[in-house]
Amino acid sequence: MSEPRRDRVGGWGLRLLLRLFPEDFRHQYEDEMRETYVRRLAEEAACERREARARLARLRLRARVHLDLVRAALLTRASSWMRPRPRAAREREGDSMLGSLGNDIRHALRSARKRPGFIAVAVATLAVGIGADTALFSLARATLLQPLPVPEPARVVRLFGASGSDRYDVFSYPSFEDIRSTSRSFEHLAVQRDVPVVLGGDQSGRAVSGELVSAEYFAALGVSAALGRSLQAQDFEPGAGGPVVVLSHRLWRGAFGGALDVLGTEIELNRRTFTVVGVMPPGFSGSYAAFRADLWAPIVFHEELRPLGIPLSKRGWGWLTGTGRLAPGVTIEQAQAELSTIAERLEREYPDSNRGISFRLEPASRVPEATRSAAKGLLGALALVVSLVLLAACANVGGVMLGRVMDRHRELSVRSSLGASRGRLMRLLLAEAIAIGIGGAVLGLLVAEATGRLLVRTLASADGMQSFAPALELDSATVLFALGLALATALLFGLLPAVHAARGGGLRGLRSDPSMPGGVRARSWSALIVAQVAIATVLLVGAGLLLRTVWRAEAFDPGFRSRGIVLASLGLSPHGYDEAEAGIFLREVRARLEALPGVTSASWANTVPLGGDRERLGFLIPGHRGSDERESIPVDCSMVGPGYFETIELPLLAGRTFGPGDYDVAFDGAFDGAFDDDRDAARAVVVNRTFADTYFAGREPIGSMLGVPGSEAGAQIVGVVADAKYYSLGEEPRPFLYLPGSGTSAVLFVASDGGPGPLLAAVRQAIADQDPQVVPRGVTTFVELRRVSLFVQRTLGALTGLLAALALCLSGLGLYGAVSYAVTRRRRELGLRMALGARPAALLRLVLGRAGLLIGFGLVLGFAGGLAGGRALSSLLFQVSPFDPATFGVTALVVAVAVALASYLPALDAVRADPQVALRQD
Amino acid sequence: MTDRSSPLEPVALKPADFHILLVLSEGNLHGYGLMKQVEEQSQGRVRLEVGSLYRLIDRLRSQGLIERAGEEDGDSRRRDYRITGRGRATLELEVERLREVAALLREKRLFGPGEGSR
Repeated sequence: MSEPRRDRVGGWGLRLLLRLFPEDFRHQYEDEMRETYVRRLAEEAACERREARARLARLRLRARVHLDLVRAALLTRASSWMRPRPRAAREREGDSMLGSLGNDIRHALRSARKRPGFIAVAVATLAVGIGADTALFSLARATLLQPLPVPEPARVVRLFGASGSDRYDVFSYPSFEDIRSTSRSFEHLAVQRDVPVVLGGDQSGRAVSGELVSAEYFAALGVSAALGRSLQAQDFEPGAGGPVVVLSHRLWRGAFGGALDVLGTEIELNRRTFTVVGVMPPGFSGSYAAFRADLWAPIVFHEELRPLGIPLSKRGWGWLTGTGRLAPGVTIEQAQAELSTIAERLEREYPDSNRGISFRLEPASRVPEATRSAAKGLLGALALVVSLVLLAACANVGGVMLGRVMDRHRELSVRSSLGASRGRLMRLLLAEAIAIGIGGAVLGLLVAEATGRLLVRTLASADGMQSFAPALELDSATVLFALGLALATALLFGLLPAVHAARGGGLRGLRSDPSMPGGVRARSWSALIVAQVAIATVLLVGAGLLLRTVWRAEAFDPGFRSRGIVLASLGLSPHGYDEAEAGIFLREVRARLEALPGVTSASWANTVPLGGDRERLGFLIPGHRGSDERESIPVDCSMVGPGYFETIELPLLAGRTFGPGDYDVAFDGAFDGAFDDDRDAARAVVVNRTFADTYFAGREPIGSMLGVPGSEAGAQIVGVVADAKYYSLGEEPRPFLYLPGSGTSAVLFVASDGGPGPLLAAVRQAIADQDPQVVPRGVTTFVELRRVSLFVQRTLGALTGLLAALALCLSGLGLYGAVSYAVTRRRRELGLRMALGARPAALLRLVLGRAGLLIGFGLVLGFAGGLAGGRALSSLLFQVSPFDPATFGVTALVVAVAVALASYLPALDAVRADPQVALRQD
Repeated sequence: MTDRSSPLEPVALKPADFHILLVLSEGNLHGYGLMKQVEEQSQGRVRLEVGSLYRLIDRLRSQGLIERAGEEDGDSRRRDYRITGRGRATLELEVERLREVAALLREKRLFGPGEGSR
């Protein structure tokens, strides 16, 4: 019944497919192919008797035959492109724009085959530039540019508390409940909090990152489970069954082998038992797409995963941020206005906990919104550096192509006098540039893939970035970006040579002697070389400033001992320890550590100087008034173990350090609740010199009492120690206070007189001996920690240095080419001069004078750029001025020597040549 | 452009090329017949669909290994292909090469008559 129709469709489809073949191929085989095609399709369908099967067989056959046609057409085209075509075909195509552009590219590819060296260098150079730029683009897309990968992302917003200058503050669960129950702006509103989780059971010790979320979390994001279910209202009701958990697709595959029967099984998280109820779809990684979360648990089970002993209902306990989905038609401004009125009401109702606290909405993004501007800055700086390199690559390829235009001077002139139009000549050269550019883009995509992975790995190695896992995709936008970049660069480096090719055409070109120095071409070429030298200089200055910062900072004395100290960071609450148990654990581990051979002293603290953590407590200081209602003054502080000051060799200036008795008083208090009991005895505290100078100027600090809000007994200063650097090496001296005590989160400090290498393992072992379940979050050295704090400077500096070396090589190559070209062209003149008695040194000066001028020009321009760049970097610099004379001096020397050498070698070659040979040439 | 007068060198022919030459060495054939014969001769291992078939025909023609049977007669309607002298020589070189390979394998006792491939 459908026989004739199918034939017609087949005929139409076949005609289209045959169009894919090159014209002369079609010309030769089209009829035959049609015939064979029809016989082929008729044949197999006849074999099958049953209608359904016959239809299936026909479909399959059709698909195979058609796919094969497409493949063969592409292969035929590819090989015919690389082959010169018969005259007849060329004439048929006539002078149509498209036809001749095809011819030009074909010509370019053919001539590329004759000069593989040049093409390889040009393509590789561009590939590095385009690849690095593309990698950054895809990283920027995966972190900053694209919205969250959820349905209708424009409606998803984040909710923050805002107090004082902190715009990304946390808020309490009761505040969230108040907003959720009164606000009409949201379709769904939820809160979340990330929490480190250690798996038990078979996966014992595996650390993952989880999120505690409220009931509407998944609805707010608009995602549902791929397997089982996500969280439901009943999961949040107390007493409605045990804790439940939803797993990420990645964790399900990685830790549970993708088993379908994972639903309903019980797994151990932070030593508590949870029941798996669902698995989320692949690609969903929680609140922030660029950071991976592995599991989600109802917030009502926060005490299971994050035991702090604080009830969810405590108003003063800010620890959450929110994610909401705006109701249809509601703008973020309307929702914000509503939140402001709610905040005002809460301030009136709960003045103790909510004074000065407002709420703020922001469009949801793939990275924590608070880090957006920092991420933008880093990516921007990287993009600038990489683009400079791409520019240098363009200048380089442009220079080489210009050189080739001069070499092909006569060929182009002949073409022009035979009737090729100027436009045609320009197209010829541009086609060559575009072919190189596209080659660079294709190879660049491979470079981008590798660079992107390397970038993510480097960034994820930074402190606190372990879960950084943006989804880098080589999607169509990225490919388009690379191709666009390729075309733009091709125009950039191809246009100059093309214009010169067009200008140099005609009889003028045939007659003129291209060996004459000077002229427009030489000027363009010089400009390209100056640009390359300048770019290399800018990059070297940037790299120099950053690396000098790293060296300066590493050599800087922070006021305490950092060499030979091993740090082990412990999170004891995931392992089921409460405050008191943690204290016992730490004391016993400390005893084990001090017994190790080579260990001189060991202690602990809840923060590490220069480690990035910050704790503050309010104190009432006699004679001074704070700004809050209780007039307490917030002081940076750290809770430290016995022997802390001895371990990090922080000098004691007056009084005493903590003795065992101080810990008997203080041992059982949590850090934030250290004083909220009704103990009689005052606690001992130690302050630093700046604290004593600021608050006890002219008075004796030792023995003075400090008031502690909420505590009758208060604190007594028993010692004064030297100042140190606490948060950054560049900070001014600040008041600081030490308390004796411990918490469930602590860092062990182990000082030894030997190298840290074997000690790292010994420290791990000592912890495991105490409790095999407790796996330190990290064991490192203080020196390493200080290196990490310089992560941005080090990475950016090393990368810039590497790229600067590349740019320097490029400009050296460019100059080498230019000088040897000039020398070859002037060989006759030089030979004549030599024959007339000029000394080699004079000839060298003659040849190199021009190169020297170019280098000088490039350096001056580069310094100007370097000054601007240095100022842009100034926030990253430490003890290094953006105008650092040493950096600029060394840069000048390196650039001058490198490029001078590149031009000296070919010049020497010319001067050494036998004048007789040189004169006879040509 | 491939140089038709370049001396022959023993090169490993691709399986499809080899089968086409082998089929044509037994007699002239048109496209569809060639397709069927190659499939049969190779016991279904080499299956040429329309596109690939004519791509290979075009390549073998440009290499001077096969030609149109009607070309000399000026009969453009005839669409049979035949193997050229050069094609025959190439095929013989390939057969010789395969024979040497087989002999070598036998020598190394990798397989022998009657043993088959393992």
